[in-house]
Amino acid sequence: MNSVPNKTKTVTRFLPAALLFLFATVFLYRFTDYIFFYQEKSSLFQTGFSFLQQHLDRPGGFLEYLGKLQIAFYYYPFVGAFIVSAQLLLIVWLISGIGKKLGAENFLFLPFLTGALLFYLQTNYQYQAINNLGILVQLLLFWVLLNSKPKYEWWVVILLPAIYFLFGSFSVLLLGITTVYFLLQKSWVKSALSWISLAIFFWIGKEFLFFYTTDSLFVFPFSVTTIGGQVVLFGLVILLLLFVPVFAKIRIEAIERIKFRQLKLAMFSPYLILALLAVAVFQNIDEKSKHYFHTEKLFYEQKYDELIRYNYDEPTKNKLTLFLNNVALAETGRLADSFFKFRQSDDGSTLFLKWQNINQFIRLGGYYYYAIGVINEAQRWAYEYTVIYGYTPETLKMLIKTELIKGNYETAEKYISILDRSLFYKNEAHHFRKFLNDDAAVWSDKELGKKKQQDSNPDFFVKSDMPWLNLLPVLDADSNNPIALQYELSWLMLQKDMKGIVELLPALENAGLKKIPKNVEEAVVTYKLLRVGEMPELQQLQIDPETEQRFQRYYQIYQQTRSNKGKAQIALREFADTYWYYVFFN
Amino acid sequence: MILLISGFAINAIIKLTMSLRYHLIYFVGLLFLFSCVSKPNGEFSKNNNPVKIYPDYTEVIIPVNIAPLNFLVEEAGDAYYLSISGEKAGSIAVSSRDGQFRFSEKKWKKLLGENLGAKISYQISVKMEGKWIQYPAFSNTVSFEKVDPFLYYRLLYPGYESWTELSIVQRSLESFKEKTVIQNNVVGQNCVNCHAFNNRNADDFMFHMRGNLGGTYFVEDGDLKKVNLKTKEMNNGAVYPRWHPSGKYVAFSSNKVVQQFHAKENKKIEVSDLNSSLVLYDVDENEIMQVPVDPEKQFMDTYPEWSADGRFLYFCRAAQIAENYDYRDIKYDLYRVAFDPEQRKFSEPELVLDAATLGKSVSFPRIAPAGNVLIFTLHDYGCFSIWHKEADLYSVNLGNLEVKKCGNNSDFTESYHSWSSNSKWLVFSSKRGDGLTARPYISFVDENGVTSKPFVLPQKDPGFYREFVKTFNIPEFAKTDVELTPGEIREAAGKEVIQAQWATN
Repeated sequence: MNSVPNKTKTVTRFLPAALLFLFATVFLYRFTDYIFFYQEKSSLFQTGFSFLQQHLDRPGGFLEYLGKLQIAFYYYPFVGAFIVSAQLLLIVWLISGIGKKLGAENFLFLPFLTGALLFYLQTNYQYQAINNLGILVQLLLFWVLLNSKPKYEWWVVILLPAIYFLFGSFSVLLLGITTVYFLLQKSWVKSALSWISLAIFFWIGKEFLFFYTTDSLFVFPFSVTTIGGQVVLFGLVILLLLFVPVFAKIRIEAIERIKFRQLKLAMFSPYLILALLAVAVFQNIDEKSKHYFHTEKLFYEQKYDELIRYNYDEPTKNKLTLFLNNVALAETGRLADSFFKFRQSDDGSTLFLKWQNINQFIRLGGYYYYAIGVINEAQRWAYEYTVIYGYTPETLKMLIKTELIKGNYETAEKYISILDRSLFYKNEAHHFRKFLNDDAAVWSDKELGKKKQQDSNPDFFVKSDMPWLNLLPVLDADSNNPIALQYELSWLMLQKDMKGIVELLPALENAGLKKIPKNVEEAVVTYKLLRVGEMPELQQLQIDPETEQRFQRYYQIYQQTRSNKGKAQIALREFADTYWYYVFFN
Repeated sequence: MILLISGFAINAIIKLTMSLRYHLIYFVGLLFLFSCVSKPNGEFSKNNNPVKIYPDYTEVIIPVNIAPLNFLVEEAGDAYYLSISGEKAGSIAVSSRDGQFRFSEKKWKKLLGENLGAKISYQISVKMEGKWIQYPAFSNTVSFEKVDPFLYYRLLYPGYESWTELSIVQRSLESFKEKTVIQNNVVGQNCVNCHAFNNRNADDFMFHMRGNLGGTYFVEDGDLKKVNLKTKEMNNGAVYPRWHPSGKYVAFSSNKVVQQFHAKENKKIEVSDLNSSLVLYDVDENEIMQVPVDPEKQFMDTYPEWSADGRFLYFCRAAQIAENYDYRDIKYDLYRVAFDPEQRKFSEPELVLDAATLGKSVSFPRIAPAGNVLIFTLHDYGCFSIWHKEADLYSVNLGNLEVKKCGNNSDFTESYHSWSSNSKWLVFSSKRGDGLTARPYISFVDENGVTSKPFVLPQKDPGFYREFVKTFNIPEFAKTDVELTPGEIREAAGKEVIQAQWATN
């Protein structure tokens, strides 16, 4: 018999559950879709048995596999939001159902609290799918256990090794919760045998089966990184879940007695939790990461104009964002023109990424080399990233493109086959396949042809620790490489090397430029008007008199305000995007 | 109650009907399947062009104990039929819908066993638009000579600086069974490399491990012993090993390696030694000593190799580079030095092959256990031939020092190689598949050192090499099984390292 009236049930159970689901879906999709972008771009799920097999060489690998499958669907952020919200809802329902099965009729506070905490954890972009998935499966198994007849409860003792093999450290949640449950039932034998069964399998696996460290066999697939470093909060959730059977039996009379009309206050706790959750998650939106990931998204889509406009409208100090912005400027021929419209770092870290074993650095650093046409090095960065972190859609595409440019079609085909086994990149794989064994098709492609042309130059050894040193050999080999030329000019501007910039003016002419890029012209004007040295003879390029006038005005204001740097900066704000401003205030 | 019973009855009938329906569909499906996989019924046209198969197993000499040479036909068709017939006896007939032919191990073994020293002939027919086309037959020769039953190799991404997963793997050559012997993850992603056997015997086995649990691990009486071979007298650690046939010594080169990355050429990486020398480790005494062949330090000596009787140590030698060197000028010659194993004494080194005069460089000298032939890798410069597209295998007749280019080379890299215990089979790394990843190829070698057309290590899935992105590194034949468990490796790694002692003689 149902002891709770239907209307009350609707108000206290279904409505808050529906609200949680709707709020989570809308919030994740509308405000934190960057989470899905980041995670989807960080792994690549492949169909086929061999990919599954690769994940079965250690306990927890299957959960990792399922997590990657889920993340593949983040390709569509709405689907990602829907899946995550549905998982949260299921977890809430399962806990509630478990409580009910254990005798707590209105077991709402703990389920919603757990759901809310998991939702909060999920708003960290590093919080991976395996966590909620792992928890969900373990709760489901416990729920199945509760619904088994006592004599069939032995299945959990027998199957725990298999559950450990499939779900790794997350099976400890099931072990813990069943232990608490069996102890409450006074089933000492089942409890003890569960531990013994798992311990024996763990020992056999450690000694004879799995080539992993003992530590990793204990914790995998859990890691502090995959929960976004939120150890305390995640630990609290696990602790709450472990003691669900206990909480289901506890009654706090004082709270139970508080009623509003016919309804107990405790029954409204989900609403309170949801309200607090809404406040908390809005506070947890990571605007900096959101900005960065939006830039990265536009970068991968090669929407360079939009990317530049976005960063211009919403200025950033993030060096990785500025690095991508500079690649976009270079690819659109505006680097030396608009360089100082954006914040630049005088050590060159917004222009190049030095070789460091840091995920984002290796993932993105190669794009600089790709832009200037050092294809081998672009490929090496993508390859090294793949070796360390595994395939991702974009690094795989970089591997394909660079192999196609180099004419290594057999290797390109292998990578294309991998991309073809993804869920949502089949069209791109099909597109790349058209270039296989067809040099003419590669040459005639706008992007690949251009890079192939830039690549066909003499050789040198790359200096990835000092990326700027690679520009001169590239320019020595091909002084008409416009992107390398822009990078060199930008580097010289950062170094305040006016002489070096002026010496490159003939190369600009040779490269066919009709006009000196704005920031470069500012440096040249300074060199000329301050009589720093000799000006080279130029055939076509002219210095715009207006730039000279602007410099004189700048210099006049500067002379008037130079005694007070702060005042000078304010007075010269209109020149903030000039080389002059950078030189004097950096 | 009646309603309840009739409900159950209806349910049971529905289930039975469903079950029958599924069974019917299943049987019709099977029938359809068998009716589709057909064979030529007498009428066919002939195509005189050789049939394209992958991997290329046409006209190769194979050992009688090799696993089935599964392959796929690269001709378009709706159905495929293959008949293999033995010159002496036996046959196998297989149909395929997608051109893939995977043979039963039992039937394959029987066929090869019945045709020792004879040929087995492959006749392929392809059905296209309802008509069968027969291609010219090709054959394999089944050698009397068995190949060693195991092949060991290191599987890794052909990368440059980074690694995550490295494993030394044992593959049965008589079947498709593969097992991991060592994986670096067992000790937390330390690098494992340079596995080496004495006389292809797993009882004398060693490998290096780099990183925080680093050391050289020796299998000794079934146990693992961890030794630190680097002493304060040595500038660099011990790298490339070769066991003395007695099992008492291991010669190593001790190298300082540098790698640089090409910006433009299709060759991606340049690996070279800045300096190197030879050292000798006495396993029983736990002593390591300099091989005294270069007291003035004028040379870079590397890649040691023992003669079959253990009386000579062969090695590669180049002039010591100066500060501003050009990597393309480093050329290694082949040398040897006499060795007295009883006294642990070396004589004066002597030149065996002057490769530098030819503008070439030698690496990986490997002598057949029979002692009559040495095979080495020849390339344009340096000693890291795996990244040299032009690298090829050459043989030296040790009786008359006549040098010949091997017949098993390709336009791509041929590099590391090792001999079977009967000196009849050579396994070598070749990048002829895609130019990037090395695969183990096996050639028959006759008594004059002439190598036959090689065949790639067979795989259960004939398309395996097209998809597999890891490289096969240091393929080595072995006669016996290495049985190390993850627990044993962890335990050995956790042990206190045994420090080798420096000796002057």
